[in-house]
Amino acid sequence: MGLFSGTHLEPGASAPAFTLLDQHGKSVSLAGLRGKRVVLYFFPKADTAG
Amino acid sequence: MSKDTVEAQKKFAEKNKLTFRLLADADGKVIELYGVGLAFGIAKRKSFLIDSKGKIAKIYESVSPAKHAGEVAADLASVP
Repeated sequence: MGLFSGTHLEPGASAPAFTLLDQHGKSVSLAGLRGKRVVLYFFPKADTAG
Repeated sequence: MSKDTVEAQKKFAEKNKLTFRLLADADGKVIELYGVGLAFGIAKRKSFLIDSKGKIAKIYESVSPAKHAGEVAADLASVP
């Protein structure tokens, strides 16, 4: 596995499914949000500026 | 979402009074799935706008935190 591994996603592709816990310990899955528009914002670390 | 624990996200949200959901990708698997991982599995700042059918509508590279909410709000108007 290289340093920059992972899929190369393009607009039009299906967003990969996932299920994670949010800050309240509640389970959130992308499938569960179907029917809504979702903004998935990745950031480096909690508690960095911005 | 970031490669942080639920506990870290909770503190971050409370400290900054964030109302949106912060997802804890503690083992970095979703970061890798979306191809946004850098060294040590930490995510780069990147956003995906996903439409109501689960398809990627737009990808934002080099996100500027200050401007991002505005540009996404504008784009949402044209996303099904």
